[in-house]
Amino acid sequence: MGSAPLLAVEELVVAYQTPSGPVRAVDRVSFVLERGEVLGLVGESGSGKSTVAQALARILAPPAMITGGRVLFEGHDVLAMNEDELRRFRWRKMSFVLQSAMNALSPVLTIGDQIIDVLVTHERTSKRVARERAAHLLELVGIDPTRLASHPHELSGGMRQRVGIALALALHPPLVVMDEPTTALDVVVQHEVLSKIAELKEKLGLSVLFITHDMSIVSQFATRIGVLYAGRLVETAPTRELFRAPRHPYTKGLLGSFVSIHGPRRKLVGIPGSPPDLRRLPAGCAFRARCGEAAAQCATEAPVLRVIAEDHHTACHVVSP
Amino acid sequence: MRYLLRQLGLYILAAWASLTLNFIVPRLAPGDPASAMFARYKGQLQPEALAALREAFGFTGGPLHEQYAAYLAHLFRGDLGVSVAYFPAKVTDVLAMGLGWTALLTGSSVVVAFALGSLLGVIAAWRRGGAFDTTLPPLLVFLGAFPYFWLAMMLLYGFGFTLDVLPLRHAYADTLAPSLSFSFVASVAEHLLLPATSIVLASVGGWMLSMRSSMIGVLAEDYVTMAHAKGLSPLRIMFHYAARNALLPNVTGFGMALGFVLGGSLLTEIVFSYPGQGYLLVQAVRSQDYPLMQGIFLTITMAVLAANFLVDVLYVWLDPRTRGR
Repeated sequence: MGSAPLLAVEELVVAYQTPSGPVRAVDRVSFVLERGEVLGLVGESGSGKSTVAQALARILAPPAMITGGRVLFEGHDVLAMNEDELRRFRWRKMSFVLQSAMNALSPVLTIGDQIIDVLVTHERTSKRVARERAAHLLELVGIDPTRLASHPHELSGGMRQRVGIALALALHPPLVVMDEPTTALDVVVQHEVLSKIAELKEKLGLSVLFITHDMSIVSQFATRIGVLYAGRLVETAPTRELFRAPRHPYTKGLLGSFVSIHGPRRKLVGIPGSPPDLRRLPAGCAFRARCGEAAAQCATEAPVLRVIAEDHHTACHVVSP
Repeated sequence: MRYLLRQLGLYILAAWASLTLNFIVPRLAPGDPASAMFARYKGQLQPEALAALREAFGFTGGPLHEQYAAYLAHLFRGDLGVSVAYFPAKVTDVLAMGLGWTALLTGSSVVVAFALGSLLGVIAAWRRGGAFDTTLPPLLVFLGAFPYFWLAMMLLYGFGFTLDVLPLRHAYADTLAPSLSFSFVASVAEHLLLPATSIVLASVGGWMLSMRSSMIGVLAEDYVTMAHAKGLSPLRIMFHYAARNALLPNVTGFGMALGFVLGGSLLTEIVFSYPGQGYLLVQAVRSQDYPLMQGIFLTITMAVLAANFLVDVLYVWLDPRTRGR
């Protein structure tokens, strides 16, 4: 067990069951997350990044279904667990900070109730002990413990997201999945929440799966980055390597389309076109229609991830090692 | 708290307005309804009844504002005049007779239908597309599409007449005197079963559907996904996280239904000869008993207002977002 990576995802497939047949939102995605690592999953909306995240703890709502692959957590296959094992696994081993700060907390329950019920369910502590621990958790994220009695609507967006983080840390899970934790916040609050996450990560030695569409945020945080396009992983590499030498045309496009304050002045380049319709994926490479470097092979054969440089994988026909 | 006080003020204003309308409307008609009725009875009405009628309408002579003052004074003393149909019983006494039975019959049916319908709606939404969800809603909607008095008649015919297992009429057995004895309470329950079942059958489908649809909306919320991720038990997610939120929009409808409880289920009460408000109202209309009608409308108005206020209180308790206001 000691040698198994914290999280290994192998050939994960998630399909949405639609009246016109299943649509693959996640197509044979594989990656590994080692202890202490922060893996950034980057992609446009609709690229399947949130679907991957929710598949890991099997909290996808129908019509989404995991139709293939394995999710190995410390060597145990999450997809093979029964309901009881699954409930014990959730939050204790892998917790979530969800996208929208506004909706991740129930509006009719107090902040305290929503932290306490995790502690009571998983650790069978008394309500009194749980309340004390919940107070400590709030202090940890810089919120006054008297706020336990508050309801979500009485907190600002930033505070709510910090409550979400406190909640995620309640059982000291080895892995926290953060799905666009700062997207609904304004830039100043975003910065505040991000530095809180960074601080806690150092202090508690967490591993994080960080999901975002924002390249500049992921560059501050992630030790490794995986780029998703149309449900497929098109490039993975250590963060510095990816920023220094992106190889996939899509990654190059992403990096060309955000502004760096410190780097040299350069022209912003967007990616022409829009993401493909997952119901009618073209044959061959899904990015072909938007790609400036497409070759004849790209129209017929879907590229698979292969080693391009040390620890650097790309799924592209026109890239050579 | 301030929100509730403001609401309370609003309801008091509405109550005053309805009382005043009750005073003005009879005076807009030409002549005075009491004399008109006296004429229609062709002298069969006792003079005392005529005097009671006039007084009930506040036709005590004198300028309008004095009449209005007399009318309000009577009301506040709880004096609604004397009933014509049940002469010389006071309207308040006649109302008291029917009110309890109506509150029991309609009140218990509305509460049971709401609780049962909401529970079924929660389960149907939770197992959306399952066997339970695909069979029960259409069946209940089908039942609800029948006129409720027709359902009542069928039940009466089936269980009361053909099978003869449940009583046909009245609120308790004629051989018993009202008391708190076991046999009396059992008799009341036995007589309650059929009329209450007919009301519940007719209305449970509506409650189920509205709960099901609001529950389906809530199940797609992030906080429900979050509750799953937290590894909570399915029952806790279903009730504590999802149903509590889904219930909110339905509480308003429940309050409206509660408000109309005192109006009685007119036709159900007639089918089962149940001695409630609805039955009284029919008697009042038949014998043109204006004071009794006025009294019944007054209680209905007050009940609707009271139920609305109750919903406001309930809302503050259920939905913390209303507390700040």
